[in-house]
Amino acid sequence: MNISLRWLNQYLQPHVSAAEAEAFLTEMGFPLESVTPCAGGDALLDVEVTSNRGDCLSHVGLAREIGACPRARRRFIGPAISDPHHGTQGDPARHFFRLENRAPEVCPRFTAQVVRGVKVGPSPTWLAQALEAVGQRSINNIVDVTNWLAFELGNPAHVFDLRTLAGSALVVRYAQDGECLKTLDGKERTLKADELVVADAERAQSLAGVIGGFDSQVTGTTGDVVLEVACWDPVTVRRAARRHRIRTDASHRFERYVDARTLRDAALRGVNLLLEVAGGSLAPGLLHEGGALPTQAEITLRPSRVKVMLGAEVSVAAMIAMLRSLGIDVAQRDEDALVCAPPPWRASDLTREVDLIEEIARLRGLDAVEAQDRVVVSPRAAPRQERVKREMRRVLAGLGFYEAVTFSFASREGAAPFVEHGLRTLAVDDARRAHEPVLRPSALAGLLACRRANQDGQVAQPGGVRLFERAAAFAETEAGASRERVTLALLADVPGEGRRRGHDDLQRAVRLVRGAVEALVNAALGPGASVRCLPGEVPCAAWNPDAFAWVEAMPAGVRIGRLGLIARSLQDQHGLEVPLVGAEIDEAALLNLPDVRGSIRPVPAFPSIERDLSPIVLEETRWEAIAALVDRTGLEHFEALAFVGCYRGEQAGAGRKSLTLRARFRAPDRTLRHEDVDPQMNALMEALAKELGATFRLA
Amino acid sequence: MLQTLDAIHAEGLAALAGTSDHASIEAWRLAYLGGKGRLKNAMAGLRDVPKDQKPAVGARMNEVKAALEAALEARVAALGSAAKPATGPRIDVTEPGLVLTEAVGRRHILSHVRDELVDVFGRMGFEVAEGPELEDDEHNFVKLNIPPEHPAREPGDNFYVDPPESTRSARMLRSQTSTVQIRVMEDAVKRGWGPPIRIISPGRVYRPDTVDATHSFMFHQIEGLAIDRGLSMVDLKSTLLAFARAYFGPDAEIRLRPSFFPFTEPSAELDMKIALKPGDEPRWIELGGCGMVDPAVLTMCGIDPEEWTGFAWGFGIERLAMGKYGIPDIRLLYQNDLRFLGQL
Repeated sequence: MNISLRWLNQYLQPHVSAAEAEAFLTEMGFPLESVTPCAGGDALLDVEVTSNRGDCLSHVGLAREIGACPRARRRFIGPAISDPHHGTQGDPARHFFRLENRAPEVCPRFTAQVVRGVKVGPSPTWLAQALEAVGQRSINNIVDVTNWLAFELGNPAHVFDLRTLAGSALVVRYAQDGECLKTLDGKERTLKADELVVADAERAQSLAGVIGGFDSQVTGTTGDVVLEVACWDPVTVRRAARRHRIRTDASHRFERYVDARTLRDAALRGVNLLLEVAGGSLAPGLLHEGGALPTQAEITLRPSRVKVMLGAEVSVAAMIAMLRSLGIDVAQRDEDALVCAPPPWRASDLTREVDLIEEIARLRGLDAVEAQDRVVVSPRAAPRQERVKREMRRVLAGLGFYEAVTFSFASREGAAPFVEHGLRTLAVDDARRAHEPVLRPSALAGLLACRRANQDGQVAQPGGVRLFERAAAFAETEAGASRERVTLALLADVPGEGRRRGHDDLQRAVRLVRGAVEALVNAALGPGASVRCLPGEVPCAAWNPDAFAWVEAMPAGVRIGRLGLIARSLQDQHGLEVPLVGAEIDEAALLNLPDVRGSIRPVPAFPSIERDLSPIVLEETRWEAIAALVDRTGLEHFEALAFVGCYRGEQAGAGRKSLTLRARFRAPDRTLRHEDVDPQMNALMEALAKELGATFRLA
Repeated sequence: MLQTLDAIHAEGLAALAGTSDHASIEAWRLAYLGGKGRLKNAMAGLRDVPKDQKPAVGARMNEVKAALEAALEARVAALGSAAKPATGPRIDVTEPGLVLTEAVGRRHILSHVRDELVDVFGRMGFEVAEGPELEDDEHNFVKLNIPPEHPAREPGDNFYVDPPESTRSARMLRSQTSTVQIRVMEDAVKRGWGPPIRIISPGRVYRPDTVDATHSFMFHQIEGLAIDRGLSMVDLKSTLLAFARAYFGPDAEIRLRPSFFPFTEPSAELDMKIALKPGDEPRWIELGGCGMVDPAVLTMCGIDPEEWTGFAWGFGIERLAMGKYGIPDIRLLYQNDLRFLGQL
């Protein structure tokens, strides 16, 4: 809201400087965006006015606030308003003009005054300069008066050329569906039935509370005018302004509520100015149509409640003085009840006890709220979830992953590979996100784009770039239920030299990401937890079907996510040079599992024996099958199994591979000898041969 | 008009079937669904359609749009899965994990600052609460005492997923973390664990701002809420002062300026006089908003405002992070260039 210091000072005694205005207004809750010194000692103040204070979208409103500010010590003097109708002779306005209000529920009051024989011309210097000082273009003396009213009192006004009004009438009514109106900005607008217009006897002549009509505007040949000062339902004005994409000084104010009881003074002020700057003769009669004026609300304020909210004692006398300085009528009913009636211009924002408490807090000054240097704390158990979430991030950073924060939006093409069967994407309806409207179904969509940005920046990392992000992923079921899940998404380059990656590189990269997932699960659930990867059908096109697994947390056996190679097509879609491995972990699924921390055992007293074995098995035999077999075989003294490596080549034969495993044996009470373990290894070889068709190379 | 739409539908599907790679799919998307595509052109023609036919044409237009979008998604998906069957060595996803790295990574600056804030408030007894980012009108507005005519509801200032006028509570991306306050209060009352309540909720919020060096359409806020018997503005100010001193050093000062938020009353803007970067001269920084929880909000969440009072505050995490680390442009935070991320 632009205001002029000189204009503001018209209503203040003594005057304030720009610095004082800034200090006082800020203290009252109206901070300044900027102060621009202007010619002749004036200054343009850009004041922030919160949306509850429509009354302060005016010089008088802000001057009134300075007048109420205890530290300012300024007196507010409102403009003197006389009634020119009183004692004016001549034919009354009703002779020339008819006013009708068919929508009093959304136009609580509409006032009209008729001035005949005005002389349209340039504004006097004081008026033109005042408007220019607040960034308004001076148009002509008549229009400038209406702008003056908006900026002085916060009451937007409009002037119609009476000659152009069919039937010499103004009718407040809803538009007919499809009714046309050419507005002041020269645009032809088609109206809807829920929009309010001011019409003449035949057609709409202005979009109520928003913008005037082109055909009834004041021109150089205008002689007789109708001055409208009205008020409108904020929601109706907002809807119309939004639909037609117009924001005017009028709509801005009406959207923030103008009280019907303020209209009379504004109308008289307006017509006085009109007569002063454009001459003409007033047709007596302030015409008005609408519902009953709102009655003054009564709010009971309990001083005891003020103490509760402010945390400080304020005397009742001081409260009464503060409230009265804001124009509020106060009567004390008993010791703990002040009956308060706010003035019309505060009717919309002072409706409850707490609104008055806020006024007392504001006038008393928030600096007067004395902060203590101690706060009361009730200790609580350390929150496990927060601790675990942090631990997981630290683990990933320790494993070479950089945490990314990427936008939650994706393009339709970017989101498509992540759309799963039975789910749909959700999108925002906003032109500014037209390229990326989709709420991404996976945070991997963002990480892939981020990987590409790093590729473009020629960023290299030893072992390849690794990224992770904790973020929500969004989708909707076919039944229309939205689904939002917080996931940890991991994305890692397949390490290697140059751009080519062989099978071993890919296999190793999958193991690296799996290792990170295992570390996460251990961080979340404890060292007793582990990960099981179940190869399965890919749920969407993002994953390579040959290297995809669902991730389960063990021992619970609950699915917590997925991992695998990113599909070649997705890699190409993002123009990425090296293949990537990804994983997604559903945070809630993981953190809802119980801790797996057994009791601590002493370290073993005797050494172990380790034995390697290299069964040659079919290509499709998975490590998991071998591990399960070892478990099942129930080897005596067996302690642990480790994966050593996998070899393919001539010695293994076509379609086969040689897996090297390492078994560890230990006895709790003695040192094992080779003779103790040999039979176990033989049993294992037999079982592998029998159940998995394994053969063995001679070492 | 309907014939035109049918033609766009049929020709679109046929043309899509002829695409073979991402480039041709993108060209197709521009031609049919793009800002100057055939469907958009057809939409422009909608105003010439006689009034009585508009609903039918509009409905058909939505159908065609949905069909083409679905086909596009399916096409892109199909392109992904058309991989050749495996021959030769196979990836074995059941091989055990490998923990190996040649370099350590870093946590993001934003999550680092978030944790610092959570720690300070955590020491004052505030627990972390998180809530959904895909919210609804009820939690983002209604229960925060933001009435239908409030300017904050402008579609231009929010990312709506459903049309805001739709009959059910329209889904939208939350524009503030205050939504979590509501969810926590509802949960506390429903399950009987509070009040008293003391929570902080850090998280992402979304507003369609034009992106520049200090604005982004997605950013992070941290919000605090305390509800107890007898809490007053003194407690609010004391808590924020304690935070300022704990986080920025013993010389930090705070200042409250009257303001307006629909969900707090009295409301205030929160300024802190702090040296954001160690060694800087302390200056006043506008950090965010705060106030006493509006009794209407408490009532809507089932808490008796005569028995309980509370205070709340919220501020932006980016602003703190940028100030503290001298980050000149907010966009750097979301580009995630490792050469930037590695500097923390």
